[in-house]
Formats: sequence, C-alpha cells, structure tokens
Amino acid sequence: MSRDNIILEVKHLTVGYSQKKPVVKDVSFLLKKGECLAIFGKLGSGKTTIAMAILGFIAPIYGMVLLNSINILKIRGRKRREIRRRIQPIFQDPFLSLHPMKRIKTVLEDSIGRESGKSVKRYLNMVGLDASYMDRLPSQLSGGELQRVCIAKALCTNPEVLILDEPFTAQDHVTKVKLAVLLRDLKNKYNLSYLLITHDIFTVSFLSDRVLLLDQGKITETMTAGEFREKYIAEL
Amino acid sequence: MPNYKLELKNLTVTALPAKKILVKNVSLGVAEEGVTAILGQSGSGKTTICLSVLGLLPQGLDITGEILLRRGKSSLDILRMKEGELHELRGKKVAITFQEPRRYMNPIIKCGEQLMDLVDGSRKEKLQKAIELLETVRFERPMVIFNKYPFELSGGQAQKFSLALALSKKPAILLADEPTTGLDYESKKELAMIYNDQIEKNGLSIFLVTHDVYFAHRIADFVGVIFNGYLLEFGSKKEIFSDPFHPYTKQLIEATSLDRLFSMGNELWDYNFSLRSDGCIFSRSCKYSMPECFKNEPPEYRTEERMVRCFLFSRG
Repeated sequence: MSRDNIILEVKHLTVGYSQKKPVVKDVSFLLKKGECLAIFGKLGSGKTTIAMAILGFIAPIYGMVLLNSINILKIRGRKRREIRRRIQPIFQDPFLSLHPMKRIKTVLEDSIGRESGKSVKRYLNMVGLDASYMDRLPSQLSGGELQRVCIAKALCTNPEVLILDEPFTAQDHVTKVKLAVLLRDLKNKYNLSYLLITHDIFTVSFLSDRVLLLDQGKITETMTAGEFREKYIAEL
Repeated sequence: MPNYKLELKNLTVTALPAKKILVKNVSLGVAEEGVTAILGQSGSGKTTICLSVLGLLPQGLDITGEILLRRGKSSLDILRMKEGELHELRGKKVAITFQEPRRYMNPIIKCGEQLMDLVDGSRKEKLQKAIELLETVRFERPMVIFNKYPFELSGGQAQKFSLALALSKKPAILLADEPTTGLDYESKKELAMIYNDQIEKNGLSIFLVTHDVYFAHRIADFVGVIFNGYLLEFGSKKEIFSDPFHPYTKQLIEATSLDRLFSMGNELWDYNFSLRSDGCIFSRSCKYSMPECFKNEPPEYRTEERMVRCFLFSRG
C-alpha cells in the first residue's frame, strides 16, 4: 500500500480504564484518503473507546495516532487545537451534540470562526438544508435534521477525517437512508475520509469500503465491503 | 379475517384545543399467538397508538373509536374502562416494554428484587420465579443479572430484563415499543427468538411498534404502515413485503434493498410533513399524485385480509 495516500494511522492502540484490563488491545489500522473504514462489532466490544482515544477524550495506555504522519497524542496547546479541527466527530444522539439555547446559525458560526452568514448558508446547503433553518433552535428540528446540522457543523472546520460513531442509531430507517446517501455523496465530492463505528449491518454495507471486525477489544478480521455484505447481509 | 385478540377500530387521537390530529381512523388487529407490527417514521403516531391501548396517554387528548380486547366470545372496550379496571389490565393482561427500558425501572433497587416484587409466593418461591424469568429471556448467568442495578445493564440486557418484567404476570398481549433501538444484530436475533419462544409456549400475542423494517420482516405475521397518523396499508407480512400497494409502502421497502439504494442517485424521496393538503396525507410527497389526491381523503379499500388507503387502488 502506498503510504502517500494514508491520512490516519493508528498503531498498537491499547486503551483501558485500568492498566490490567484494557478495553482496546493492540489495535492498529490505516485509513486512506477518500476511504470509509468501518469498525464493526457488538455492543461493548470497544468501538467507541477507539474513537474516544483518537479524538483525545481518553488517554491511551499505549499506542500512537498519526494524522498525516504527526502523532496527535503528543501535541499540546494551540497546535493541538488546530490539528483537532481536522478530525471531527459525529455522534449517535445529535440532541446532545448541540447547545440547546443556541440557534443553528450561532452553532455553525462558532465552528467556522469569524465568517459571515453567507458561509453558514453554504454549509447548510451542503447538507440539504435551506437558510430558513438558521434562526431555529435545536428543539425545533427533527432528529434527521439535527444530524444534518451536526454534519454541517463538522464540515465547517474543513476536516480531513470524520469519525462517525453510530451516526444513525437514533434514526428511523428512511432518515437513516437519507443521511447515509448524504454522507456517501459528501465523501465522494470532497474526498473525505470516514472512520465509521457501528454495529449496524445496513450502515456498514452501504457506506464502507473496508471493514475491521472488533471483538472484545481486538481486531479479529479485516475484509472488503463486498466480503462483509456476503457474510452479514442475511442477518439484516 | 383472523381471530384477533386485540382489535383497534377507527382509533382517532386528537390533541386539544388545537384539534391537531395525531392518529386518524386506525383499524387493525393483533391475532391470537401472532405478531402485528406497525411500521413508520419517527413522529408518525406509532407510540401514541401503543400507549392508547393501555390508557397511558396524557390528559388533553380526545380519543375516539374502539380498542377491543377479546375474552372468549365477548370483548371489552379498553377506551370505555374506568381507571380501576385499567389498573387491573395493565401488566396483567396487557404488558408493555418501552424504547428506553431503563427509564421505567427503579434505579436504586437491584434487578432481582424488582422481579421478586412482581411475582407471588414465599420469598424462596419468588426467588425461584425471578430466576426462571431471567432464564426465560435467555440470560446465560441469571444470578449475575439478578444482583445488578439497572444502570449496570447494557442496552441489550436492559431490553431483555424489561421483557422479563413484562412477562412476570403472564400477560396475553405484549406491546413492544421500539424494542430494537440501539441493539446490535445478535441482540436483535436473540430478542426475536425470545418472542417466538413466548408465542409457542405461552400463546403470547405481540403488538410491535417499530421503525426497524428488517426486524418487522423477521418476526411479524401482519404489518401496518403508518404515515403522519394515518394507517396507509395493512395486511399479512408476505403480501406487504412481496406486493406492496401503497406508494409509501413501496418506498419504505425499496429503502431496505441495498442493490436498489446503490443504484439511486439524488432521486431520494423527501417527505413533506408540514404541508397537509385537504386530501391524502401522502399526496404532497407522492410521485403518483393525481388531482383527486389533493381534494379528497382516500377511503379504506379492503379485501379479505388487506387494507390500503390510496386512490390508485380504486383504479386497480
């Protein structure tokens, strides 16, 4: 594999809440530019812990997370904040990701920095929402619309990697399909890279290019999306 | 028509004083030892129907129609029951499991104690029954769950434990409100097996409210499709999935086909909830809309085991 194409590299990541019992054990993988890599596993297998460690919310016991060959776990201060903007998370429950008292315009402006309302409109349009959403509060939006706002919020920082942690679990099937199509189109249009973390067979089958199977904190198998579909589609 | 254990006839729920219709003229049934699933998007009125069966809807709602619970040859109308009678019904004849089960458990009492509170007998008998219930819902190590607090359970364990609570009084009907939300595929498979066990061994009838099309396909015998409070189609699972009549049902089932989705460009359907026309509730989102659809509400076209609410059906 050509290393020029690699955007995120996770090396021997070991994470746990105690040194003796790590939840994630020696996990290593590569994410290529423009690729959607899925980490698929049962509830409690350690998927979200990997995401939290990459995002810097949990300090790993051991291991490295390299973004464009820079170990982002070692960087501190302003540089760390800058580099963090290039990896954006999208979580399961959009209600918990947005400030309940802030209007959508303010939420997006906070992420963009000092830019005008025109940019806010552009980001809303990118996720299929119009300018009428700018003055609304999160409580006035449906779950699917809120998740779109979260995607727009993530895009505002011009990220290179999106970490999608169970992005559709709280959504009904129709909304899930619409959001999956949106994410697929955004990936293709802007050459984004996704680390998709989910236990949902449909989401993995639809969005991913490559799949890592995680069981009890260890990667047990790596397969292509085609191989995954062949193996799991009957379980849907 | 099959022998329904629970039957809803023209159930209409309206929010007062604005007279906002939440559920309109819903008629369907849950067969003896069968599963009836209601499929629909979030906010389409599924949970409202489910809660109305147990008389759990908040005040300020106008509820009309009939909810008939069959007992032998006679039937009781749940909507005409007094609070005391409803109290006797809840949990004992009709039980419910909720989407977020932990919210309905006592957070400061261990799971085993909560189960023991619900069963009868001496303390030793209660203990035995509680463990049996935990085994019924396929906990491999029931004593481990017995000694846990609700917050210590995972999503799948909480859903199974709430099912054990619901089954404690041996109900005839189980209302399952979004039981698969947040569960992984193995937990869903296990839940389906538990439901099948209960249907076979105890003759349980299940009214499943879900947006999980795959789960409904896996366990249901009858399927109803609801959109914005209106039941658009009802029939046997086989007919609904193999030959859907209503355009919305067709789209919903198309959305489960990966091959179809892979070939889709930006032609994804967009549902318009906010603009209600005088006619069909789905007319503004339907690609087959005719002038008639915007003027009149389509009636229910019924065959022996099938109902569809669409003018297209009148034209064959």
